[in-house]
Amino acid sequence: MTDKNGFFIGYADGLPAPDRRFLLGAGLAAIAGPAFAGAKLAAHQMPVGSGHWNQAKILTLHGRVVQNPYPVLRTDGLDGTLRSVALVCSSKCGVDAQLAVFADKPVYVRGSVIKRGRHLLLAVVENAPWIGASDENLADEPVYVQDMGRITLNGEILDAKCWSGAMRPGRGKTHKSCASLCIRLGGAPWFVAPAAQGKRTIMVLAGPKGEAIRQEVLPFVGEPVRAKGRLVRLDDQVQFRIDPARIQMI
Amino acid sequence: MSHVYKAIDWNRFKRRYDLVLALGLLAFLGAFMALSIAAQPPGQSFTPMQLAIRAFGAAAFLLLNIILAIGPLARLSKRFIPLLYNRRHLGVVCFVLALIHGVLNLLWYQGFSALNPLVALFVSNPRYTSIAGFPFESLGFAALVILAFLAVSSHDYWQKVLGSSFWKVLHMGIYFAYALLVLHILLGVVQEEKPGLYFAAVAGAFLLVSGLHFASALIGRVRDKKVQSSLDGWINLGDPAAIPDTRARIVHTEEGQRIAVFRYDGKISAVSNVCAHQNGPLGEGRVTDGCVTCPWHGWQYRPEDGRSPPPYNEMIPTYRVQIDNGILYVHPQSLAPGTPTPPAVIEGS
Repeated sequence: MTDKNGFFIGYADGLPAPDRRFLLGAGLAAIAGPAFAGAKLAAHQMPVGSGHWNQAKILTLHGRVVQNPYPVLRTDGLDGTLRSVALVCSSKCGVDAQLAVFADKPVYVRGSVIKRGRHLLLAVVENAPWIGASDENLADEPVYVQDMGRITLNGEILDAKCWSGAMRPGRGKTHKSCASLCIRLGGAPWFVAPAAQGKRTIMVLAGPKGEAIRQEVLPFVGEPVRAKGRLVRLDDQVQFRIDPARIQMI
Repeated sequence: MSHVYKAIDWNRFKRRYDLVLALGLLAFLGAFMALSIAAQPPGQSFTPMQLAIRAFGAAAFLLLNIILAIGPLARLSKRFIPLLYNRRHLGVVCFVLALIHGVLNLLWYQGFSALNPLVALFVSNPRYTSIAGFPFESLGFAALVILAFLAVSSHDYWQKVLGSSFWKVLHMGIYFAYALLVLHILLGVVQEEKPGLYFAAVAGAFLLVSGLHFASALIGRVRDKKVQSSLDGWINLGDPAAIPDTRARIVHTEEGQRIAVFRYDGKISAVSNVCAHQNGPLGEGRVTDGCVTCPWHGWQYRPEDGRSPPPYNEMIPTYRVQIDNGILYVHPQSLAPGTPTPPAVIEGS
């Protein structure tokens, strides 16, 4: 700034003294203000969930594949006890079609583990053969079924893989379209209900007869909903069987 | 005011301006990311991609609010005028931040499927008839398209090609983009986060930006008090010495024109109050080095003929002036841009 009267001219060298002092303060505010705002906004975010997907480690699990109603590997390969491991794609797709020929037969499945709490999923490797007949001597125990009665629950419908650790956060409005896309293309819808003592209850969402429901629940994914149905235990998974036409937005 | 168009006509002030911008951005992104990691409960953490999506989106919105606040602040206090000088750099950076946010979003949430991510963006959430469930991503996408257009056309070259008035009207699209982004956030992340701070931050920013625009419009209306022409068409402006030296009095005519009447070197000249660059208020500038200098970006015009000094060739309309019996008059009929007009000499000065 060359003008004696202290008039700012941007392209001229130097600044008038009042402008210099003001701009120094404005510059400091332009650095400190955003830092404060960023810290404040970040610290105010909801917990994103404890799930984890270890993509670096590819496991081979042996067991029997069932559709309950979404693909599940019944295996005792992890810790010696029978576990239901949900089988999912590594990308956004379904694995149902590839499993049809292996239904109820001993198989091996290769993939990476997604784990949240006691919930286990195996994201199958998609760039190589990931399923085949197993020559291991696997027991063929019948699926344990227990009717737990009717219930009305408030909660959120979300995609099993995203919620379990593929996405963090894997719930809520910002994740709604992702979860909808996953379920639309073959993912398994789960129902997460906040229960007493702040603990969540996670259920596999199914139709009234235990059939798969995907397209029917899309409008409700990622939003607070109320659903009425029957709880049915299948091995170590709990299924929430509902009539999707009667889901209510809260 | 560029004779030969360059990508950026750097000078010391612009470098410092952009340095502060970079430091401010780094401070925001660093604080946001660090606290996002530190504030989560043990064993919980964002995926790096989702953390980046949030950080860049928040940074873009914060910067957009600052960009929109600078204009009215400069109208309310001349101290903010230097911040206007390099504002288009803020706009381009804002677009880049929004683009990073948008592309990461598209890849992460809409990618990894057989569906085209751009198609998935619009069909994965079908609740277009709901307010709470509305696919807010579509609003963000629309805003990003507008920001892209504004960023690309922000250079003086495009302003020259499109014409200053048309360019200015196009760039008012920033307000439409802003409205879309406010909705994008309110219908998106605000619904997901703890109630309180996020809503307050967005609503507060919107009210602040709106309030500043309202206040500056109000002040502008007071400043732009219309003057009436006498029967012979000339406007009586009274004692010419009442205009501070090297400064102007802005006259708002009944016909809706704004005239900047400058006093300098014992003379009076009148030119359009509207700068040929970005319609800046020339009358709020000064005569420096013999030229009327726009307070927004420093474009200059000779007061006698409204022409930029060589080698530049911008021109603005001029107006006839005369002093009769110590009274200053200006004629409200504008002359063609660049028309030489003899200045009125103030006797005894």
